[in-house]
Amino acid sequence: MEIEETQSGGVLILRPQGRLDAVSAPRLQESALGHLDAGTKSLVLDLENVDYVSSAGLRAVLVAAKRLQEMGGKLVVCSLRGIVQEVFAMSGFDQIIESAPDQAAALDMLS
Amino acid sequence: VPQSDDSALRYEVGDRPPHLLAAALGFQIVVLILAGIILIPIIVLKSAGASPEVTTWAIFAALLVSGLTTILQGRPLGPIGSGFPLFMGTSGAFIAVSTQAVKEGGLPLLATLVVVSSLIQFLFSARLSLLRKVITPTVGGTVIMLIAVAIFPICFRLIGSVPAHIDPSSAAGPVSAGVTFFVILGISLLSAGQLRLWGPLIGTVVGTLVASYFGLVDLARVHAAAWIGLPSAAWPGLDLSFDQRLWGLLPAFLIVTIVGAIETYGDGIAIQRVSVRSRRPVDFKAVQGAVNADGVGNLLSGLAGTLPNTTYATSISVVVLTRVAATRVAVYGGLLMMVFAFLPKISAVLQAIPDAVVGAYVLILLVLLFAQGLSMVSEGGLTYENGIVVCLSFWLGMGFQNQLVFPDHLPQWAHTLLDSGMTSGSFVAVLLTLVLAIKNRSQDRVTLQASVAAIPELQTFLARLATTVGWDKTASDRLQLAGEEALLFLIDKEEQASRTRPTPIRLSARESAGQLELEFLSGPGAENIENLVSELGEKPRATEQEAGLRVLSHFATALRHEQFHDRNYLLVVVDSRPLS
Repeated sequence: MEIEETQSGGVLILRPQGRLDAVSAPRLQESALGHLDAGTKSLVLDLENVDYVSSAGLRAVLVAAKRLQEMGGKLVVCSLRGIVQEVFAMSGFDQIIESAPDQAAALDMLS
Repeated sequence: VPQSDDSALRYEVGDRPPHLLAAALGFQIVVLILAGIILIPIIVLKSAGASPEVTTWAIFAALLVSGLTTILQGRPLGPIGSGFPLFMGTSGAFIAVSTQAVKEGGLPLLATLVVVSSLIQFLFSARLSLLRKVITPTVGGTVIMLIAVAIFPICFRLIGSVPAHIDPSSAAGPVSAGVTFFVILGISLLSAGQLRLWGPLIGTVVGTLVASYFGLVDLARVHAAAWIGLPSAAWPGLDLSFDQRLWGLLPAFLIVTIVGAIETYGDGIAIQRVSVRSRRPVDFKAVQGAVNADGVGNLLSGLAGTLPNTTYATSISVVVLTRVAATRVAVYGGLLMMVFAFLPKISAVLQAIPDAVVGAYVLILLVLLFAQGLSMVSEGGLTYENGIVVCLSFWLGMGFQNQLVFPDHLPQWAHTLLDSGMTSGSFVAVLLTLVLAIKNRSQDRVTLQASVAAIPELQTFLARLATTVGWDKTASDRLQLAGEEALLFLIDKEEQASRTRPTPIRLSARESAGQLELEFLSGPGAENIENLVSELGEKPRATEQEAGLRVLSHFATALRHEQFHDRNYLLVVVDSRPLS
């Protein structure tokens, strides 16, 4: 899994590509936690290029969100579509993790 | 099978009702099934021409073993016993074969046949998870119908039999039998609830009163019998000659034993459906326990010198009617049966019932047996294919039973084996079911290691499968999501069982009517996924534990998790169309 990393005004944007399953999710979690340990407090997880997410992927997102909450920071996921959006909705994750329709809206929420 | 109403049960299986209530209910059920437990040995031994003394022994042993195994069903010992109130009693399915065995070699030959054939029941239970695909309810139901056909002549011989001092052409026999039959039939058809259960007992009592008017009832043995005591005959022992008679009869005994095990398998499932307040998936370990206890019952019956026993389906109707499913009832009932074994007066009273009345009782028994066979067949689904299996097996069985199928062309050994319609019918049924199982076998399969590392292999397998059946990417993703969550659940269970080398997980897949059925075969695990899914609340709680279950139950149109002592089957069905 490729993870594109960019910064925008103090906000870290992670753009994973491909599938978030039990094999790739730990890599995303590792990358996100690495940045949080290094002091990142605002994180956008742009899932535009993710076309598959299983409970293992949700777990990675939840772990990062909880860590940020403890640190007083914030995580926003954005650009959910298709089956990924369906999984977030029916598992109830869309209720506890803030989401935005696109990256710009996500950055607005964090500014 | 009646389903349990959530609010209906007064005491569910694990509850502890007051001792007095449990004992009273236990007594009531024992009275209901006592006639079956005692009359079946009487019918067999009378038909085989055994002495009344031998009969008293068989009754004594039948009551003791039935009591003991009923207690075992209620209070399991390790893997033996279901943990449900399943009452045990003498098996009607063995009437025909047991009569033949007693005719040929008395109780000792019967005892040896019962002991030897009981062993196959343990094998059946141990391999239940595999055998259930070939020895299906369709096969079991067909064989039960053929057993009823085999008992038919015995029943009419009894109806036509009158004591020596009565003129055989007098109306005494037919009238007594007719009254018994129509009273039971009337109650069975016209009444409902509690009264229906008492039909056979009421009919037998009324029939016996009519018979006594005609002088058919001889109470001399009842007067002579002690209130408390041991049977007049001694333990008959086992026939250890292992000669031609044993080998000739063994195949039929093995078949009836397997069929008895299938019946118990069905009762073991049915009792669970009515014994709990809220719907739970079937606990197949309990079903295996029920079959094991049945096997122990047969083994002990053989060793003790009586007919094999089985679970009585009455147990299920009684739970529905009394709304008490507590196992304490079975414990008291079992104890009472064992006490009754030492009351010879009771068995003497039942032995005094005239043949004509017993014959009418058996006629109802075989009608119910036939109906039970039909119900098992319909449980297996009356598809076009099953229809062929049932009817061809039944009619070929009938043909062989009546020696209509090339009787002059068959060698003697084939006659020995096939002349019992039940044996030939089951042979045909199992063979046809095997053919169907091969036809419907899974289209593809893969063996996966029980670890996250197997996920890519699983996804490649499922993606290829989806392409083969022409599914689009969204449908393929749904399939892969359901598959991944199922595998993750099973891996978790494996890890919890802390095995050093987890058993590999075998996945087989099959397409059927726009759906893909994935069957995961894994090592034993503690938690049942159907249970966990049914416990999920309406509102998602967005926890890690819940998410996997929600994803799986969302993308699967059906989930079935069958847990056996040695393995687990998880069936996940995914539809190509999205759910609305």
